[in-house]
Amino acid sequence: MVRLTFLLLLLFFSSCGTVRVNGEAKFRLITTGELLKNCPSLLGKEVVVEGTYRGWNCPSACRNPGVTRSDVCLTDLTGCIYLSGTGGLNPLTDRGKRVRVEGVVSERNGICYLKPERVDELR
Amino acid sequence: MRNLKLFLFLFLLFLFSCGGGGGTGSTVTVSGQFISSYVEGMKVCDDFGNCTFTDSQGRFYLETDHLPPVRLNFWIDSIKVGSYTLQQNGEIINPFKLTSSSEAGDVLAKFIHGMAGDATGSLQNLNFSGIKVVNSNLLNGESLADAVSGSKTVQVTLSDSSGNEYSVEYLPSDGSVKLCSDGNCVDVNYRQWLVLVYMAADNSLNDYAYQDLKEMSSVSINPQVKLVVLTDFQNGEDEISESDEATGTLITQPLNSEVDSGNYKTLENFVETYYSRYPAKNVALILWDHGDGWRSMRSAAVDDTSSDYLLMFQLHQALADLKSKGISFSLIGFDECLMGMEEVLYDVKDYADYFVASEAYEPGEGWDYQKLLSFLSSNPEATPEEFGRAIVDAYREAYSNYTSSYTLTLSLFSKEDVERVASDLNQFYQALNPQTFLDFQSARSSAQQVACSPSDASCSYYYVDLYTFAFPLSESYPAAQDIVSVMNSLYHVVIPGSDGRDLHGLSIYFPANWTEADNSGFSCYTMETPGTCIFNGQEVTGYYNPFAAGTYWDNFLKEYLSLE
Repeated sequence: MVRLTFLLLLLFFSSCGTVRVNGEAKFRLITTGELLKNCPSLLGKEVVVEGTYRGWNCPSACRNPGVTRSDVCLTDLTGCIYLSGTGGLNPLTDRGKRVRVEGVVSERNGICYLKPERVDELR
Repeated sequence: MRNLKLFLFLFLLFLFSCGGGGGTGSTVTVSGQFISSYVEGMKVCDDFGNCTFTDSQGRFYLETDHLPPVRLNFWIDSIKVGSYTLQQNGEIINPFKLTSSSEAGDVLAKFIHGMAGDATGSLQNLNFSGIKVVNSNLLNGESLADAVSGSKTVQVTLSDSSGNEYSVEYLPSDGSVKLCSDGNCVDVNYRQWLVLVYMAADNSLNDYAYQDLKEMSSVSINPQVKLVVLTDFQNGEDEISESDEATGTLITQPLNSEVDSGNYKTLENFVETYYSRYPAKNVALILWDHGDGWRSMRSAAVDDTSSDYLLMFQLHQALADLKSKGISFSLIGFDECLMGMEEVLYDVKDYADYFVASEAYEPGEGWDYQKLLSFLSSNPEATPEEFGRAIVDAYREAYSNYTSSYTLTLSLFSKEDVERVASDLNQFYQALNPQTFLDFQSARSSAQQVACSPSDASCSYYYVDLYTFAFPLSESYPAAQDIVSVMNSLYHVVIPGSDGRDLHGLSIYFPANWTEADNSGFSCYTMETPGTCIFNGQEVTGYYNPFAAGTYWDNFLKEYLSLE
């Protein structure tokens, strides 16, 4: 019984997929595909997405919320999502970089996007 | 007899060797096109008595013995319209090239349309083949262009091919041109505005190009306003859209080729083609795209298919090339983010009278073309300043209830505003020394950052709002006081966002320390002559910063950073 409880607890904690930031479990690591699929339930929540920073060179199927004319996009194997603003990187010269984006899930004109709070380049 | 033959031979040799005063010695064809609308049946002569007539497209082919540059005289029956020195074959001549000012060109265009019986000024073809001049008050040898340029009252009576008489009058007192027949007079109109939109949407803004074209299409455009839009899409065929004078609708044609809107020659060709085809009293050029301020590796337009960027020094080059061909603008607008920078405006200041730009980010929807074209269609006589104000007003209306995390701004600048601020910045350089450094450092630290938020660890903009930098200095430095004064007098809109930014309409590049400078291409910023700029691993040849070349702000920054 103790083993089962321990196993369930372990399963519960490991399924959260959280990322520790500054010592606090705060952001949820998620793919763009999951994010877009579950956008309504994630609105206002903070998540982490890893992918390729595409600047303004975004796939035409990627829907642009147009929060600003400088919005950029991020792609991973499951899809593509826009970030509002430039995410602090250069949309032209930082294209193709692998990045980790921490941001808040938001929506404009029915289009899901991320309001970036921190963008870090991955090595 | 033998001596006679020799004499004749030498005499003929002498005659042939005269060369005709600079002519080619053989017949050549000089060609061009006269456009007000297409002007047919206009007589075109050189100064040596060689003449021809324009065809239904306004084209002429003159057999002469003089290559361009050659002075040509244009006639409608016995009325001399004006003279122009053709620089090269195929050149397009319009009423504005025959006169000394855009106002006189506008009057001349109206007069030509009136002589063709076209009071609306919108007929595509003006046919003078059957039209005779009955009488006029022009002096012998005086041209219409001279008369209107000299603000002289002109009256010409004509008869059409059916023998019906009518007259055209220009009254300098009220600036009107009237077409009169059977005792009734109506004002003659002509195209007041040519609005050229360079829509570089071969990137993530593709969908917003469709949206803005839809806004444009929703307006019934006044025939006195010609709208031409070049659209470079990310997917789908690139196209050219023109408003139709007869219906007021926007007619779109595919271009059947991929446009490279990042190439400055594409911009030049677009402007030159339609500026010549649709002469107008006022011309606006609107650049539509991403934008992120000063030049370095940043762009006014970005084309993803061709991976080409229209860098600011290239935009400057395109506008300079156009100016050398006699093409300049009443207004240049940037429907782009972050172009409301002193550097950007300085680069383009010599090519227009007014400028509209956003210091901050713009929403994806950008300007409201339905609103601003409705204004112009209802007010085709609007001055460039009035049109600029209308663009700002349309932005205010479109976003007044907009809730965003970003503060929005849009401002109208005159050339004088831009030059005054540049002069003030030069004075800052004169004022900066080890004793005054702390004043500037304090002002810099309290200045509002424009594009980066504190959490943007790698943000490399370092643009500060110029007003918030100058204001703390304004009690001690007259130049700062003047900047505050210029900014206070700007016609602009600020729509607060939740980011709480205190923006006033104009920014300046100002890295606070060498780390920020190195992160943001400072070495490129300070390039005053063309060279190779390397920024983030990308190489640009022929790069330079016209603003650095023309002002001391780069020197100020160098001095400031050395004192930091």
